[in-house]
Amino acid sequence: MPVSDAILVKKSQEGDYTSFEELVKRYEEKVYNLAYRIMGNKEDASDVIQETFLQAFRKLGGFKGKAKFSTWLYRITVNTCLMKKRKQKKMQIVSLDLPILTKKEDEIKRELGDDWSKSPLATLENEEVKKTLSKAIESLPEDYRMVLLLRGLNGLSNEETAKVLNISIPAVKSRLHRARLFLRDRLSEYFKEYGTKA
Amino acid sequence: MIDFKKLCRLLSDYFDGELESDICAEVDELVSEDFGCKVLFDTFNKTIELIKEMESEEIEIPEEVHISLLEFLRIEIEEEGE
Repeated sequence: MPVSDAILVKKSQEGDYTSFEELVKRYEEKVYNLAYRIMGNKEDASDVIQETFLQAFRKLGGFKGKAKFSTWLYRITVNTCLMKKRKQKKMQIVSLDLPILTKKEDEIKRELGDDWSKSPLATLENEEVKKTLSKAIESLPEDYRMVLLLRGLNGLSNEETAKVLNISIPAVKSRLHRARLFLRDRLSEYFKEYGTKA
Repeated sequence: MIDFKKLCRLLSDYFDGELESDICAEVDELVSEDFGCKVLFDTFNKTIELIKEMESEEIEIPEEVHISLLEFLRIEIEEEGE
């Protein structure tokens, strides 16, 4: 049975570097994936994981275990990404209260005859659909994209995502929902333009 | 009573299993009776499926990134300890 995170953290806090290295090996893939999807390239993702684990080592003494180690680590990852983006001046300035760039829920029109969900083309094996979805995710404001990535990619719960991003659970749910509606709209536009027949 | 507008607000909760069963039943009923609502419901569900599929595609950490990470940490932490 693998040693729990809690034990590895405790040993690391006591100065056992091997245990810390074990935590690094356990989470480097997840941290890399998260960083890659936020930053959008391998070079920045590589810088972010180095900085993230170094920060984690430095701050480990103050980790009390109230949250899961992974939640705590993803929070450092997200913050490191945001700091790097700010430095690169690529950060989209989006107020947390600003409505998402998509329509409001009650502005969604009834789309009679536009059901693309059963189309054989509605699959990621269709490179165009994959590209459309990928571009749509990239175009989401950071606040929404982070929620989508943490909930989906890293499989965090609403509560864990809220802790990582330091926002409320209703805010997580609202952003996730709006992000999904936005992505559905983009896919609907794609199928409206290119059709649903193979 | 649920209508199209309300359905738009409830979809994530429905598919995330966070709606109470009586409201779920109302959603199911609306979707079975109203084609426009069914289109929204099905395409929203398909969007969630596609997002999940995309997110499940793990990006493998390159070997050189893994090695340089461990080296970087050893050096930095050793220097800090001195």
